[in-house]
Amino acid sequence: MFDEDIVLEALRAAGSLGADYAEVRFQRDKSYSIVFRDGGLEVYGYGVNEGISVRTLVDGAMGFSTTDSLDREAIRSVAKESIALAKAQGGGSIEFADAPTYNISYEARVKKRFEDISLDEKLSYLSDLDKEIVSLGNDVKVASRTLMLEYTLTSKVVATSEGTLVSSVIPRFAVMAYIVLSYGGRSITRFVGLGGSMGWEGIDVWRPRDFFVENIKALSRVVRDAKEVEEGKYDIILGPETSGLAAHESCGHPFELDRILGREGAQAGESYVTIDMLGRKVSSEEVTVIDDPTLPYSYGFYLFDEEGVKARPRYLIKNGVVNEFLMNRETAAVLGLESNGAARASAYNREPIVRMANTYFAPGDHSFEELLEDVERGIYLKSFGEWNIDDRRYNMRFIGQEAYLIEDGEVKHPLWNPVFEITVPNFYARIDAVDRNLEFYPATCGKSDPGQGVPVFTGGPNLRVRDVYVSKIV
Amino acid sequence: MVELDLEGLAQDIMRRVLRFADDCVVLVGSSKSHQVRFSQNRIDVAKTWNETSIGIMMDKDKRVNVLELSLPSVRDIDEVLEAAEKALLSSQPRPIYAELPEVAAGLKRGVSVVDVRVRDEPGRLIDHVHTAIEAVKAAGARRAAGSIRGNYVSLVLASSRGEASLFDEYTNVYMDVRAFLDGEETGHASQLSRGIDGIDAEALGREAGETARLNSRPIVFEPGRYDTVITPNAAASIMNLAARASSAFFFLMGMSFFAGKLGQSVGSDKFNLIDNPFNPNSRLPRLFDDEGVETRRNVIVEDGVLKGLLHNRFTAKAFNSGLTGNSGWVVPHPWHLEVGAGDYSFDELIRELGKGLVLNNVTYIRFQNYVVGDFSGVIRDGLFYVEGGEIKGAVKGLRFSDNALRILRNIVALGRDVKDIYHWWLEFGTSVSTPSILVKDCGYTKAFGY
Repeated sequence: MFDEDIVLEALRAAGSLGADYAEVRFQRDKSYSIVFRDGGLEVYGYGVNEGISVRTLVDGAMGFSTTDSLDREAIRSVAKESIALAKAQGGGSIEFADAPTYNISYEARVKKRFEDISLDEKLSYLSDLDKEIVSLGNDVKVASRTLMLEYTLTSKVVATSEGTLVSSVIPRFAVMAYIVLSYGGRSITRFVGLGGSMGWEGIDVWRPRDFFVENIKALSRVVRDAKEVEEGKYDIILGPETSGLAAHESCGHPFELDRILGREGAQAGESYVTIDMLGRKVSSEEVTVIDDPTLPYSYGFYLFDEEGVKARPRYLIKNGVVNEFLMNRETAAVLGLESNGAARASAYNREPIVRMANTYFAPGDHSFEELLEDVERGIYLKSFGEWNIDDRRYNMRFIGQEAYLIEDGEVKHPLWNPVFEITVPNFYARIDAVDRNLEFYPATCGKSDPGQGVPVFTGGPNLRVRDVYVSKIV
Repeated sequence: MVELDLEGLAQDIMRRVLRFADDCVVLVGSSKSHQVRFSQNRIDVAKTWNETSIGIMMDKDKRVNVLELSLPSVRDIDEVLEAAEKALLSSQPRPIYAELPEVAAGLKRGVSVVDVRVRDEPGRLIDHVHTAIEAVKAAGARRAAGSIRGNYVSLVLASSRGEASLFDEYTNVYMDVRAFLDGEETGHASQLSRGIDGIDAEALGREAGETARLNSRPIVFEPGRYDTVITPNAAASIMNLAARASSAFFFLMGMSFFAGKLGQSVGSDKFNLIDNPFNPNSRLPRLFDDEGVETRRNVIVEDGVLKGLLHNRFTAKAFNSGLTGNSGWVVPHPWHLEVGAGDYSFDELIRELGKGLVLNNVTYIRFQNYVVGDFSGVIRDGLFYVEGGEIKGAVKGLRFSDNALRILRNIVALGRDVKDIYHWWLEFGTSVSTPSILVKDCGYTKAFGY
């Protein structure tokens, strides 16, 4: 294969030039993007981003060089450049944890190749969807709608000087929308989407049309009927979209060991989590948070990471106890552990760093009705708009978009923009029940400099948080 | 490495596309970049990128498709363009269409904006890192982290609406340094320049270290509304919100808090905002935009009034406006924002503030409603309490929670301490020259349990 040949050529060059360790990755991302705005095609885009990276260790210092020129001279040159960058640092202290080697190839197969579906059919789908959305507007106006089909086919070859050679092909498809609803003096701006590691069959599996229609109907009710939230203490039930955000931002990110060790100090930040928290109880036994790249059909799917380490589910919090961190080979070595396969890069020209894949609260035993039934005064935060969290991942906030008052175990009227702002330890300490539902949504997780957006699933079950303060936008 | 004939490549692809398209523009960019990242007082990794990007926009019967390719696609160009032709013919005409504009001819720069050492001497970046780390420690902080990056960019644009190709070439360098005393006791400094010598790593390390020391032993503060001096670091983050809001595409999409306000007041009469690619430290000092239109200085907000938006050919048609030289093919964007400076020194702004807060950095800004402009952002690297016109100490536990338009309208004074800022976390990726800004009644909230 051409792709394997160039990878092995670069690996030989790095070895002959004195690298203590070399890792070469070829990656080709073929992407299709169709943007349909307010009833017309805004743009049809096709892209190919491909090239090769060479990462080397020399005397404990790391060099990383990339090129999109795939002739032999350029490949040898980029290997030489990577080693020169490592040597120029005059030594370092980086070590990689031992890892088994693999020679394997895998592919996430699709039933209907996106490329085989005519543009006409794709545009018809968007046009019909657009008409249906417009027809929903009556007293509530659909002021603007932007619909998007995004598809990327990623082909990758990773080889290391230790003997690993892993090839993969992974498709990712998402149907997204940005909608502006208005009523009276109010408006709602909403991003919504469904997706996964699938082809065009995702349209039948996810039924995005039904999902968008349901979303817009619910938000139309919110913008028209929502009452101002009364500030004070409530029990809160987070819906799958919101619990997924919490799992990703307040557990996944602070459990990234590169952050804990300070390597993202000037960029994404560090972490409130410390190494000595391993084994510490931080939540109720109901709470288990998993990051699992191996979930079939997921947006964050992979079976081997960019260092050729076999992926597995990572139990970050297990029955309320800090169980493990997300690690690549560099950070695992610091703790004397093995990598758990969390090294990801967003493109051929990005360094593999510690990342999440599909992060979620494990479902519990309750039904949704059981979560509700002993809530006297609560709020159901089904979806969110604004969110953020500080760079130590200690202080988080999100604002409900589709949110409802709960009274005496019953979901009542919608609430307008309830603000949930809480410290992360306080949040985990107050979770007391998780239901058995499980829903996922595609998202792009950002980190590092230069920025790397990697595909992930967020989502999970409904979960209940007791006795927390809720405010409104000031 | 083999030197590429970028113009030959651009012209060849254009000729091939014009066999089936009415119009075409090809933008070929070649870049060489280096970056050194560091944390915990040591270098983590040194990187080099060698990249060539090929953008193709093609028109036929008001259908417009876009291709973004990297270099290996050239080997399959016949196959790629065969598929592109098929897609273009089965595409749909745009509801709002404007023809590709005539390209500007003979564009030249008066002075060079290239420092070839940025491309050829990555070791100089490593030297800057060592200097910054030592300066952070000398200033009394314990740990330094950050990155420095230098880019050399060469561009060629070929268009069916111009006989000759357009050429551009520039370099830029930016460094940011973060100093740590402890987890929350941090400081930050950054610099953007055209060349290696424009980066003063020692000064950056010292500023970050001294800010971290000033930020030591912060006390938890009560939420509320406080008059605030927003330093250039934080002001650049906030002005990036205006960068997105001033793009006519986001105006149309319903993602702009300027929507519906053209010609109206959107800020204090002291607020002026200009897009100026010719600023000496603009990160993108482009001569022409992605449609081959000459770039220019564009007034966005003058004396608080929204004067104009930034356009490509399609948004200009939608707004019945002239071209502004800001084309991205889908999303028009600013090249480099300038916030009009005032007369105050930083110390005078603090005295004018009297009682309130100094906000040194704000990141992770997210909107609850893009049209209304309600947002919050995470504060880091120093929030300081001011009383009697003097900084009394550091505070913590607050989040910057306000409305973009209210902030612009509440500007009461601007400093003359203009800095050129480019951080990796700027939400729209637009570099900004801005002074410190005094804003009354800024909103701050606090997390439950803090």
